[in-house]
Amino acid sequence: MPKVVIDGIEIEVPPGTTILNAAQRVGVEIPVFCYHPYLKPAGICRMCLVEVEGMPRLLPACITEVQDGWEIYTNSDRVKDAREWLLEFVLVNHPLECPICDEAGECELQNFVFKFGEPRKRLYDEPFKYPTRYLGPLIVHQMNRCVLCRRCVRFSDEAMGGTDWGVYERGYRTIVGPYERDVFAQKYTFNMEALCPVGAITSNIYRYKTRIWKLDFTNSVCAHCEVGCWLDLGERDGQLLKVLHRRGYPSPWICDKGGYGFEYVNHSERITVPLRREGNRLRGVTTDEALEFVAGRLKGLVESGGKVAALVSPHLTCEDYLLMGSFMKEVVGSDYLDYRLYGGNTYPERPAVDSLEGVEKAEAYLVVGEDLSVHHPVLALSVAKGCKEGRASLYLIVTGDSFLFKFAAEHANPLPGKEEKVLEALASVLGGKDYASLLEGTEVSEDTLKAMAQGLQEKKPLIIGGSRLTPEGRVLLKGVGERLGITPLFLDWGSNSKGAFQMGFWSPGGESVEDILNKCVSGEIKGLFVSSMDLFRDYPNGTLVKEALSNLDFLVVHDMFFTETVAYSDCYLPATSFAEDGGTVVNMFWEAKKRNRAFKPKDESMPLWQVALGLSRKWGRPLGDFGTVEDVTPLVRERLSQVVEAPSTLGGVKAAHLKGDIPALFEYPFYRAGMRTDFCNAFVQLVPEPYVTLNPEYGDELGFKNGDIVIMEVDGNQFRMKLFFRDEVPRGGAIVSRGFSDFPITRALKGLWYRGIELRAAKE
Amino acid sequence: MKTVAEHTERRTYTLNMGPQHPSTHGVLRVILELEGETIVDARPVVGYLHRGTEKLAESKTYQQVSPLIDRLDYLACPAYNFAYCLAVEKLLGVEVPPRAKYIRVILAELARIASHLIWLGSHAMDIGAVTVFLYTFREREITYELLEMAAGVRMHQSYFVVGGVRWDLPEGFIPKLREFLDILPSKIQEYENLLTKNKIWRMRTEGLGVLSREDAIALGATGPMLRGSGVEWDIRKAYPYSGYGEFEFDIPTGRNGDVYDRYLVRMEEMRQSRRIILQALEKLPDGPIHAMEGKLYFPDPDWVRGEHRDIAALIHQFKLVVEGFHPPKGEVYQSIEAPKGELGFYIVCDGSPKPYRLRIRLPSLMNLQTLPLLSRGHKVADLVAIIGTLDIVLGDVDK
Ligand code: SF4
Ligand code: SF4
Ligand code: FES
Repeated sequence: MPKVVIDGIEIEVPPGTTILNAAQRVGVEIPVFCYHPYLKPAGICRMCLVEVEGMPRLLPACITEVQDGWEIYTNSDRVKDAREWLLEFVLVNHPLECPICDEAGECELQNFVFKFGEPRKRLYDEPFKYPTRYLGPLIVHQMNRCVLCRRCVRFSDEAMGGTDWGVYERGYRTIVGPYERDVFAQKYTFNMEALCPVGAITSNIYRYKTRIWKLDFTNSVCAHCEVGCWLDLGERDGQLLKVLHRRGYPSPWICDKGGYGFEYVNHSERITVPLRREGNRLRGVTTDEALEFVAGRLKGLVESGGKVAALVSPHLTCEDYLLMGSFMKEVVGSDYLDYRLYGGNTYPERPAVDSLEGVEKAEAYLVVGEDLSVHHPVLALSVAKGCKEGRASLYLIVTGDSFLFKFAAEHANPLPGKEEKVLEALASVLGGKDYASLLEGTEVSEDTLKAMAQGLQEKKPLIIGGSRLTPEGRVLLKGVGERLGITPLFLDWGSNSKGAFQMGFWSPGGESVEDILNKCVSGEIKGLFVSSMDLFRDYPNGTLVKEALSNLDFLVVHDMFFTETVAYSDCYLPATSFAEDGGTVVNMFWEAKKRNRAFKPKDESMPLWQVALGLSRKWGRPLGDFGTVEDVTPLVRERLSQVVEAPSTLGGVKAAHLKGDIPALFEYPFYRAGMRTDFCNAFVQLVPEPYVTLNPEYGDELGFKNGDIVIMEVDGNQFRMKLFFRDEVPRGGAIVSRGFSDFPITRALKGLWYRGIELRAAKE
Repeated sequence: MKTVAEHTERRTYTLNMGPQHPSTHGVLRVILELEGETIVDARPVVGYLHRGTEKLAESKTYQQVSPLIDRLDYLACPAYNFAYCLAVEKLLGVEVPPRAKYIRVILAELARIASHLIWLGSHAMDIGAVTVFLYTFREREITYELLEMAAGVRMHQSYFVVGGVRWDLPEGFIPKLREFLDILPSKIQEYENLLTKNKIWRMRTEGLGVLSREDAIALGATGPMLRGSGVEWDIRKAYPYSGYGEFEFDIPTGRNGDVYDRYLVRMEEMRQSRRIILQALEKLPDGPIHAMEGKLYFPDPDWVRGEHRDIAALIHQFKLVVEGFHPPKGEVYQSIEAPKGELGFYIVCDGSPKPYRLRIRLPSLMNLQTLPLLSRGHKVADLVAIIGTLDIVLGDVDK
């Protein structure tokens, strides 16, 4: 092992260690711009120059590997001089913008100039005057401030495999930026902003809002999906203004939902007081009054023989599920409760991997039934990593994958609704059975499947079962896993579906959400409690929801906004956002993580567990004496350590109803997936309305053009929307976007995210 | 509380003086134990002006602490900033450029004169010689005009900054200062004419509040309180700082340690201060007024936003404002000879831009400890003379 001396400190390091890493070990600071621990070393900026005894020139510490016996000086006069000059060169054209620059205070250029530079320049030149580019609602790019470290370019290339953000021109005139794009929103854009050491890429959402040192940061867990990235929530005066990802867990990167999808917390339309229906109006009441009213009405319903049900979003905490579940089951005596409002499913199977590192280590991947980059974006990056480096091969059975397909060794892109057929075919291939008939009408070729089967048998794959899989599909995939000797990683919609499952927040009789809604229609269920979810937006059957809600005697909605569901309600209770209360969440690896409260709930807002507690008190049978969420956590922990057996018929969606000409998959666009994205202004701006996408060739065949306005017809309902051509859409099928609370797209559906549609050109 | 019976038995009674009393020089409360008119015991109660300076400092950057320090002894602000800046500079291991050193000495000695003038005026007035007050305030006004010229404000100047002084002395300052120094001896003579041989003054001050050499040392008295008792101790000589070693001056001392001797000591100190300032003006070098320009104190405004604006200077300004400089980990103690005695700052630094702990040794607080001893056996009417001779300022007692 080489032994080196850094600034007089001796250290032995493994061979291949760079000077920079060795210095970090002994706690010697070397300034860097282009180096980043999670990007490949580039050696571009020369900020890290150090002196090595006996070497004629200064060496870049970030890419030079140490050799035995080196004496390294990071603070000699030569090094200091080099740093001073380098910083001065960087500053020659730098604009005087610190006072209006959002990066100021966390800007590495500032830090280095203050620490290693001179307070006065000797070189003068006209500063650059590149225009500021507002690249859509997420980021702003100001080339004037760029130090050309290329971290953004390298991230785009190394992590995302993107080709649309690059370096142009040469030398003095070098610029970086997007290639032929006015809007830059690529699912992982946040990381580019976070990586940029200066204010060249800044957030548009945070623009001119506040200063970094005025924010109080609280570590918490993202509430958009099951990956459960750690976020640092920056709060000022009860407003969530900025999110950082300082601890790099579980991955160094996060997605834009985590980084930018928090605007709903401060949304001006948020309703933070309870409302109670009086005739045609909803009137503001006190919390006490509201709870009294709700408990009284529910009690009345139960006493007169009616049933009560609860439908709760899968984005809440285990504490919420536990207490609400207890309230429903023990106090109200109801058997109808569920969290799978997206129409998804939880399969209580512990996967073969337990961390993203584990995922990255796999040699092959089989992904079925989900566009990972939409619903588990960071997982998609981990999968892409190995594939990009050529270590792993990726096999996809996914309709319309929009990100991973670039890295796939084999991509089976079945027509909407046929993913499970292809999966069945794959199982047959592996089992040596005949499969040709299964592939009929899926648009997947036998060759693809054969190659896939072969690849999977050569290298041991990691199997990922997406959230679109039905219970039958999951069983099927588990079978495939058994054959290949691995337990699949089953994914769910919602950030805490697995927690909800573990807390027992499902109907003991095995009723699905659909069953519950049907019982509302039939009048068996008379009272319904809905929390934190707009059923019209997220449940794939708008007609049924409407019928069910209009049939109810009593509907309570616990939410943050006046959604359509609230319009049907008899009482509205204000809910907290994820930043206003802590709690336990379970991630996709069945690991419990803790959310923390960043600031106190706004006005009368209450988390669900408090509502349950309050209702139980008003009912006269208090659930216990809990003051804060931490008091409930021990109960949750206990429940998490238990093994929960699912009933044999754990509800769920049944067969597909496909009717009409074109099989269509209704899928969230990335910026609409996740929690309350309708109230994140930037996301709404990015995807203002639903659209339909077709494969270009297929579109041509049908006589459409990219950007046409079309009429989509389903069951006589007509929807007017834009049509786009996208390569990832399978030929012969369509993908329609969903996730819009102000557009009744779910009316086109019948309990499943697939539907046959008819398309025709809209008359001018 | 003592019962009536106890009072009767001991034949003493308790009298509360202050905290609002014109002759306690601020919000000082003294609980007097009296036997007739004779003081048996006098217990000062402090804290009415407590502002939590030490605690507040922990949440401010080193630069932001300066204005708090000004408000300790608000009658001699430069001296206080002086000690604080020296302490931080010691922590940083920074040597201040010679011109800044001399400017600091000039202003600190000016502050001593200003402080003593106020002391003299109010001390004499307490005892009944009201006229003196009018004369001393006449000259004290000039000192404040000078300080205002230098710093831009009359009080709480915060003119000394870590690494040097805020800006150079303005044009016209030195002539005006010389003018003042020229008239000062005759003015001091004028006060002496009014008091030194004044029979009433001597009757009221001689033999009053005697502090023995031993007691003075034991009680931690410093400054004129200590020197009045005959101890030749002055930090400017004992541990010269900021170039005091380069000046010639004497340490006046008293013989009897009474109120009158301390009066004489302070009068002489004003003359000595004048001597120091004259020497400093003589030797005042040219050159920078700031060590590590831009790193410890804001760069020249012209570089930041003026005609010669420059991003490097802007960044330094920005970082200094929002973050402050980072001294190395460590602990230091630095004291100076303030007008009222030894003023010391003890700083513990954990490497962050804010002091981990700041502890202040205040001269007025320490000197106030001698009050019970000095006043015992004297008449109530003499108490105001004794409080006057302590030369306390309550901001300097209560932090
Ligand atoms: S990028 Fe950094 S140095 Fe440049 S203007 Fe912004 S804060 Fe200042
Ligand atoms: S935009 Fe930022 S991250 Fe990209 S090269 Fe410039 S300074 Fe580096
Ligand atoms: S950090 Fe080493 S060259 Fe950029």
